[in-house]
Amino acid sequence: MRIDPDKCNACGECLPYCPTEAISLGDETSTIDPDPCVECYVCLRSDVCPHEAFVAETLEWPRIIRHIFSSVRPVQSGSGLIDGRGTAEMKSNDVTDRYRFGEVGFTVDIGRPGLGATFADVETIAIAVARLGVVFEPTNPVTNLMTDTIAGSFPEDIKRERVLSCILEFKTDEAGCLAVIDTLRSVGDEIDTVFSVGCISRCRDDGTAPVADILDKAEVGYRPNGKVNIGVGWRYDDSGT
Amino acid sequence: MTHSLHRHGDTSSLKRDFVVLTLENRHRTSLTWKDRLSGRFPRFYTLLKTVYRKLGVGRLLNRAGVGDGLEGMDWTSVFHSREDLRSHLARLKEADTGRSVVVSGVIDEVGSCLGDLGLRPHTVQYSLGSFGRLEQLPDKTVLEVTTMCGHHLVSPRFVEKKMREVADGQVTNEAAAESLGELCLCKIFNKRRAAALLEDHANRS
Ligand code: SF4
Ligand code: SF4
Repeated sequence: MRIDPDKCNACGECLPYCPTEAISLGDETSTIDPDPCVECYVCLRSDVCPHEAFVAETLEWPRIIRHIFSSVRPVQSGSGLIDGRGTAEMKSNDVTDRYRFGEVGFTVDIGRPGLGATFADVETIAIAVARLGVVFEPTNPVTNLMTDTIAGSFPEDIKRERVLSCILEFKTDEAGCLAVIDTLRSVGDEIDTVFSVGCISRCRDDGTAPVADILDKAEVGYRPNGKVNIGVGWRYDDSGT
Repeated sequence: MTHSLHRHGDTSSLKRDFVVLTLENRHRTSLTWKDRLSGRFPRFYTLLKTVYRKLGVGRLLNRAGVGDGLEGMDWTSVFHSREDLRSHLARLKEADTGRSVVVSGVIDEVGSCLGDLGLRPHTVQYSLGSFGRLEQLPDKTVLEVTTMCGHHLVSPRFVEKKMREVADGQVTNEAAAESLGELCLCKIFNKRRAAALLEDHANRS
């Protein structure tokens, strides 16, 4: 994103809209620092600029990574649309069985809430959990960028790219769940941002979740609010065929 | 995806904040509810399609949150009370569209609604909170507001600006919540809850 200096009169109206504080006010025109700018297009979409000074530039690889992961909508790239926002995770588990009994799913939302992250941060976390033998979700867009999905490594040319957030998705067995949480806690000291962690469990017939027992026993705190798949999706074998 | 897992706040405030996502289930490519309806009741399906096209019934159903007018897409709705959530889930259960339904909210509250309807959680996702450089995060009230947009398109600076404007009496809390909510493209930003948070903040300052 850039600001057209011929149109901008440095009114400053747009500054609070930018989630990464990438816009700065000059004497005659405002400018965007390309490093913190994550190409989310909030400034452009908000219509805040009375002079239509925001210009969405054509983004080349690897900078387009920023837009793919920071934009809400799928992004046109090469031959098709790319959606950087992750998979349906547990949302369709009643249909897909992605997380089965005995397994624990993890979502690590890197850069969330609101700080953003580089792919160097993403790699630091991915390598740390990969050492525990977790299985990265193969259809997740972050997994698809890895050079090695066993080691959790990423290509050199994208490591400086910054995104508003992106989601590492992986699963482990119940016995490995607490080791993942310990590792995530300690890797938090090795990065310069934050991440938010989700923990997924298939429920028993009485609606209780085995992972809650594990977390409670180990005194791992979790928020009162979470996500519940209510189990009304049709599975293939419910479809009448 | 809407990213409604990590909404911040006290339990009492979160009890007025439920997000329901109804998924298209792209994985179930073999048969959709459309396929099933058209296969079993072809004439009824054709009639329904004609009515939909002529009268825009689909849009009405969509607004009511129980149908999508035969178009495949995800639907989201935000609710402020357990009673409203329960009514909506009852309608979804009745509609039996075959879509997966996911509720974000205080898990015990959601569980009790499901119990009332003869449903139960199939899969749960807990939020273990945030790790890393937490000292870089904005203050509690700002986070309670910004995390209601799952993509973080509502910037902390914009929330702080609106908090100041409400506290100074320049705008009403409802108007401020409205302009904040406009930035959330998935429309899962709970404007009523935001207005309440802004009012609480103004009363404290
Ligand atoms: S594209 Fe996003 S990050 Fe870049 S200047 Fe605009 S609002 Fe800020
Ligand atoms: S709102 Fe437009 S004119 Fe004002 S500072 Fe921003 S880019 Fe410049």
